[in-house]
Amino acid sequence: MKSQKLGLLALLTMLALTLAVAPGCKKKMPKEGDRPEDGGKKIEEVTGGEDKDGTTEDKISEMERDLALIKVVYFDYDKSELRADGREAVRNNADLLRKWPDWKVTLEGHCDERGTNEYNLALGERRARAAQRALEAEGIASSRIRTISYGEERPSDPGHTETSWSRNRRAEFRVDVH
Amino acid sequence: MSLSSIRPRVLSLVLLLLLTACSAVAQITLRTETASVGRLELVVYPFTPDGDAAFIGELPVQLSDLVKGDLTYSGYFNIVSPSDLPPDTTVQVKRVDGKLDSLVTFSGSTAARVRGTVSLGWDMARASIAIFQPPLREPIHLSEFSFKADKARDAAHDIAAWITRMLTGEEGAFTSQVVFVVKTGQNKDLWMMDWDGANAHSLTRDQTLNMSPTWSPDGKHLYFTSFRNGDADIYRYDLASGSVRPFVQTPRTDSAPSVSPDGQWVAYASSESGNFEVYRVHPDGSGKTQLTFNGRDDTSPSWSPTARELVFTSDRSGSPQIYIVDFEGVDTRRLTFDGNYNETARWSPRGDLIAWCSRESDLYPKFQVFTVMPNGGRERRLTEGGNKFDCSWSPDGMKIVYTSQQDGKTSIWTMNWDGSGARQLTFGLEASQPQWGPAVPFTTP
Repeated sequence: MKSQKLGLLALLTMLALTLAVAPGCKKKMPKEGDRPEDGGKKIEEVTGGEDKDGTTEDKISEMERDLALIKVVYFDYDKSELRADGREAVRNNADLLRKWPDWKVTLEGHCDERGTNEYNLALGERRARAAQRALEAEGIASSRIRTISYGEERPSDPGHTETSWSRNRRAEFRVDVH
Repeated sequence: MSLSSIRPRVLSLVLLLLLTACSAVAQITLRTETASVGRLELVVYPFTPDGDAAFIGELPVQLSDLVKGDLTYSGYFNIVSPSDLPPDTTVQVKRVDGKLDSLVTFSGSTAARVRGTVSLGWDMARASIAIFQPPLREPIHLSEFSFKADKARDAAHDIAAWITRMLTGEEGAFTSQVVFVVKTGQNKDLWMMDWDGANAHSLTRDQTLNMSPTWSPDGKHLYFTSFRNGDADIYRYDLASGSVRPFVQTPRTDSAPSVSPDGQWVAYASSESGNFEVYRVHPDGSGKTQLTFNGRDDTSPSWSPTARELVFTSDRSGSPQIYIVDFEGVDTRRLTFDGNYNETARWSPRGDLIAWCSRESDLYPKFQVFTVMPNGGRERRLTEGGNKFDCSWSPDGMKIVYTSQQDGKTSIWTMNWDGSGARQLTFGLEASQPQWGPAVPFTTP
């Protein structure tokens, strides 16, 4: 996890440097499905803000803020169907992905520790794919989505109670900001 | 009758009956025969020095203790202490013609006896081992074993294997090793140890997830699942060189490798088609064949000893259950019906039993190890208490290695095929997913 965070930081830093030192860089076009009031406009700000001091930092801090708004989808025990709160989380994340059309997302399926390692790889994959289908139903292009299953190997909560397990039965959205 | 001598014969009988008669007859045969199982009585005398006793030191007794420990652990023998043997009796016998009296000694026990002497050179030692079978006064088997003096443990495994082969015809598992997985933080590495838990050491140190290792039948390679390239793929580990090469790499999850006993095929599970299906492929990557076809998940394949069938897990019924599919992927039959979570089935190298793990509670992790005949008969629970999972058979089919979770600790244990003789092999490691490898001799007698 730490390395992923570092990687994200590195990406953001690179983005900042690129934007700061490349005044002639090509203007990025909003993609299909972008809502002009958020995604399109913000992109405009990024590319148009090259000659204005501070805008790049604003942009990055906004992106960081939005990254923090990405939600985790949680599942019921032994299940891979999305619950109501899971569908809500997918809608929330789809909005953010529409706003940031350069974002790509890796959906990580996870399980609690009560199954076997092998079967949990399959269950985790079903959860990641359920989240993928819901995201595609929200209009996010499948080319922006990758899935991976970690089974029970990467718990977010190391505990051994139902509270911990309910936090570990999840699909995480790992965003690659490019 | 000893277990060792009857079990193979029973098995061939059972197999014959399975082929020729109805399965019910086979079940009854096995049940009747196993009820009369006993162990071969054996006396192992402390080995003695051959040469300067002061120079040879403790080595002889150390060696005989190790041999005794191995033979006890093997499950074939009941090791009897010499002091527990009934005394020999000598009687005077009068011949029928009345002309001569003679003295005849009767052994108090017909248990076979092992005696040994050990000589020591600069760094090489030599053990001469003899097996006696009363009332015969001459040894019925003799052999010599040369070994480096600091490798007494390996030599003991070879000696115990030889004694077992001579007395029972069985190869045993004395010289086999167990590969397993150790969790450190968020990472998992492959480790190896001897069949008795000695010499545990790590094979990988990768800062990634390495899991689900399995052996090639010649003991030269391991196949395992690793996340080293992002998602789960299958890799091959060369034990001689320590090198790792990708084996099955699709953009989706590839896992749960199992090599056929003839070494010709590697079965595995992959979600490349969208959901998990079982495939088989040659070790050189050719001849890929899909064996399961349905919209649900199929995983955890394990070969029958003849490579004619595979046992695997499928949730096509709505919950994970054990099934058997034939080599062509044509005929599939369901093996388990009790419980809502049956997984990690492994076929005994003797062919007679399939071990698997069944979850007994939804409320907390609680698996137990079970066995069943391939025809679904004689389902039997082997473990109780705690959380026992990840079973794998010893190469001689006499023992099962498994993971036990108790009091927050995860460690590897073995037990005999009937659930008796549980023994802890790992200490102080978060160890799981043990897979028992083939018996490969350490030295040449």
